[in-house]
Amino acid sequence: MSNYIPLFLMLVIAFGFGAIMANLSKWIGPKKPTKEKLSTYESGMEPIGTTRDRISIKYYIVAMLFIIFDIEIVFLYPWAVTFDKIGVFALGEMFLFLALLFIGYIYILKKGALQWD
Amino acid sequence: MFDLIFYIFAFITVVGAAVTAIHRNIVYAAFALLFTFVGVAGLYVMANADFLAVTQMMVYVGGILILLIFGVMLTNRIQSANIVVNAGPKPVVAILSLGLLAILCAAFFGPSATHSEKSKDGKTASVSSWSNYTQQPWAATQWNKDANERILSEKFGAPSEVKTKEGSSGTSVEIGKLLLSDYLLPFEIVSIVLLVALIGATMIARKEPTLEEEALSESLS
Repeated sequence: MSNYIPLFLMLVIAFGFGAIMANLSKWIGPKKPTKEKLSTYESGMEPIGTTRDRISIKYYIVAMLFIIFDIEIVFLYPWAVTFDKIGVFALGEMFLFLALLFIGYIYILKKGALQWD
Repeated sequence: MFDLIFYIFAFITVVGAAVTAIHRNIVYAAFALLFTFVGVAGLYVMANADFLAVTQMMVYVGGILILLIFGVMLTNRIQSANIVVNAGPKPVVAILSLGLLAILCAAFFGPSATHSEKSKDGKTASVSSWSNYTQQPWAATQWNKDANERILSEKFGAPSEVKTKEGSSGTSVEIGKLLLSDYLLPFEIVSIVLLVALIGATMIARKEPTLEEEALSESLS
């Protein structure tokens, strides 16, 4: 348990740093708002529309495919820390595992699911 | 110290879940779910399930939540969406929730929740799992970890090899060993399930281009 303390401290510092830095300018900065200052900063361009706009369904497909490969990576972790102890057999198992997903990858490539048309 | 950290993570989890359930703006509800997932990952670490914690962070925080937020952003009229949860007549809902609460309370405080634990001097002490959790939230799972280590050392020989160097590699080594030996078939089936998910997601979510569109794109390229 005790070797998670650095991790926990990092979490606390990350949250704290983010929260403090995001609010610091609000607390200590002078406030003389004009209409231009209050408008959204967008490289000098007038912001158009709402930020909560609908996005394309294509993102959803990419995100879904990402999760599947994400889960694959999760299974790589326990394999990576043990395969040297088990040997060639483990290597073959993982190759089978990856080959099956590679078939799927070829399939989605050929199907054009990753194409941005 | 550990108590404090446990309660911090528990607080983050519960508050995140509550905001997710209560907040009227579905975007904020989805973002509040982020805190719940991170808190649960922290609780997994407290329960010595570090592999599960990493999985939770990678799959849920890094993947599922992004998918959820995308799903929210795909939705039409997010702002004006009037979320009304209509679960049925109020008395029925009240009785059902109170019943669930009663079941949970019975599970925590009831007689079946106590399990015998042998202390060092050989005495068998009956410890309620609830009191175990309140005293040392992570201690209840330490018992399981010791049992797992004993099983693993029987299976793989020398316990010194299996016993991790004070969390340096955690449970991943043990999980990896079991995954590549005893649970090999499920492990390979997982890849088939993922393959099916891959093909299914592509088939369902992607609009098949019609013949005209295909001809158009070919003529353009």
